[in-house]
Amino acid sequence: MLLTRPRRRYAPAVPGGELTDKVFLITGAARGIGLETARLAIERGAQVAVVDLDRAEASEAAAALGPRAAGFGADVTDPAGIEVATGSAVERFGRLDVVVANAGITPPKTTTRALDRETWEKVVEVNVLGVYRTVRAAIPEIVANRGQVAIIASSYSHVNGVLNSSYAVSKAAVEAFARGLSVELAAHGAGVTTAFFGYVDTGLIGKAFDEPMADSFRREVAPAFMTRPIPVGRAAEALVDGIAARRSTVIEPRRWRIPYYLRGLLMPSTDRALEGNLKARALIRQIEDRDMPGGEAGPE
Amino acid sequence: MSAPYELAGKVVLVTGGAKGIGLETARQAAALGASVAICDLDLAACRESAAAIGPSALALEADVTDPEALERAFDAAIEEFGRVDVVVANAGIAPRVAPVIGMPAEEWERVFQTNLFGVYNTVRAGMEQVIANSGQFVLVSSSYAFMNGVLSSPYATAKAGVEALGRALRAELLPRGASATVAYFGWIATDMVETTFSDPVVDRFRREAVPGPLTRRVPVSKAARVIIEGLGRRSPRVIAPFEWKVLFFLRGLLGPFMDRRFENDPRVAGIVLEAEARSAGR
Repeated sequence: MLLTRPRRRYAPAVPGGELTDKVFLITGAARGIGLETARLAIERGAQVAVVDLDRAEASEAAAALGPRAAGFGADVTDPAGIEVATGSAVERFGRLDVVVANAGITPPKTTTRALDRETWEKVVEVNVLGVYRTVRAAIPEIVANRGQVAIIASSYSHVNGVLNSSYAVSKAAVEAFARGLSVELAAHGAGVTTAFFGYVDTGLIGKAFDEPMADSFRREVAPAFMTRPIPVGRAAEALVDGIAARRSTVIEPRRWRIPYYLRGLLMPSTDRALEGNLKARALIRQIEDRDMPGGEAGPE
Repeated sequence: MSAPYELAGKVVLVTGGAKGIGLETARQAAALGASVAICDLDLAACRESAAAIGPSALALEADVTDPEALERAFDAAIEEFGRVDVVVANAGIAPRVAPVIGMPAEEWERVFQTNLFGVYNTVRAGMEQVIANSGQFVLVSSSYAFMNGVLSSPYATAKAGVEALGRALRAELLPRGASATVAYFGWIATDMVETTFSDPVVDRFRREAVPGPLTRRVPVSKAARVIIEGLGRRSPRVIAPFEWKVLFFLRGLLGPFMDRRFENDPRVAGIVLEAEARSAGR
């Protein structure tokens, strides 16, 4: 093993990628980015284990994807469950080359103080420990096949998580997890692709902005370039391209590259601008007052 | 916010306060006239440290992973001092140095949860007091929030989360007149860091793969001093030692650059494989 150096990452990417007969396992794959990623991977010749919390939905999605897909039910927060699903996928397809730890949840938009403990912890459990447990179950196969791990971070990995702290915490955390893992797996010739998506037009985000106060925060406080959503197909395509080319970082939409690379320089001033924004301050107070048990949030 | 925040007469609660950065922060706050409640898992060490500080210090036993124990600690501090103005969420643990592949899942998850949920639990327990008193939180993160976490995966993962929590919390607290500071420390000469540095794998990593200036250690008094100064200004962040400030501001550019360097460096790969073999041998 000591002599097996990784393939060079700086080698030119194969145009369009070459995924023929590669086996993917994708969590949260019954809908959204996960489902689109499955579809595109199959189009490029891969086989896909569609894993979802809901077994019936996973099987249904797999049936719609055709004979190169199979559905498995597993809760990513259940280490035994995800191991069994991974084992079944390996049994079904004979191997595993790529794991896409995509399953994730978002909280209702409110302050850290007003959000109940169970929800805050659940978001971190699914989005961080779920990713860790998914990756851990897949690692022996990924290493044996010099495959690729894909981790779904977010623009929230580096943007201020006001009114969304559990989500921002979870996405900053998985980015850090992916960075260390990438160096560790490189020693085995395997790689990690970390995807940073802005707002993607999935059911997830639609629901998040349904609520009027969160929606006015988005419209009136956040800069428009940040919140303009991209279609789910575009996110999935960027992800599959990145995996096929073994790119370490996928940023979509591309305008998010600037805040990604300049985060250390921009963060102090963007955070300060947010903190001083009167509209934001008023909305934060209103949302907290509304959501605090008893409605007594304290000094204005 | 322009008038300096004076610690005299304030009540400061510090988790992980029996030694290291926590103790030194409590000591310096007490020297400025604050009453300090120092919480630790180790009550005996906590009592000894409180006694050394003097009558303005109270020793409390609390496991930060236990929300009810934290509630009790806050209740005890309020009973003794009447209020809590400042909460320093400092308690944390370091993992054995090992790659994700070599570390038992229970250990990875315990280190992650203690370092992240411990801070979250502390914030929740102190929230109403800090808001009622227009006070402050200090969340102790780490340079690992922005440096590559190779071989220290659960620690870096948690500390990146702590940073994100502190930034969001600050934006949410300022409209209520309270605030939060994120503290980032590189290498501080604590027992925790000395233990890590005495590991032969870490030593090899330092010698072979990391630029010299980034392994410099500074005394705990320096770390505590920047926390105290940060409280005086309600700073959004404090960073020490100095070289990590440079890295903080250039993190978006240097982070990816150093990550790619590490991934492609055969010496780093050798160290990772050595650490893996060692873990497997246990």
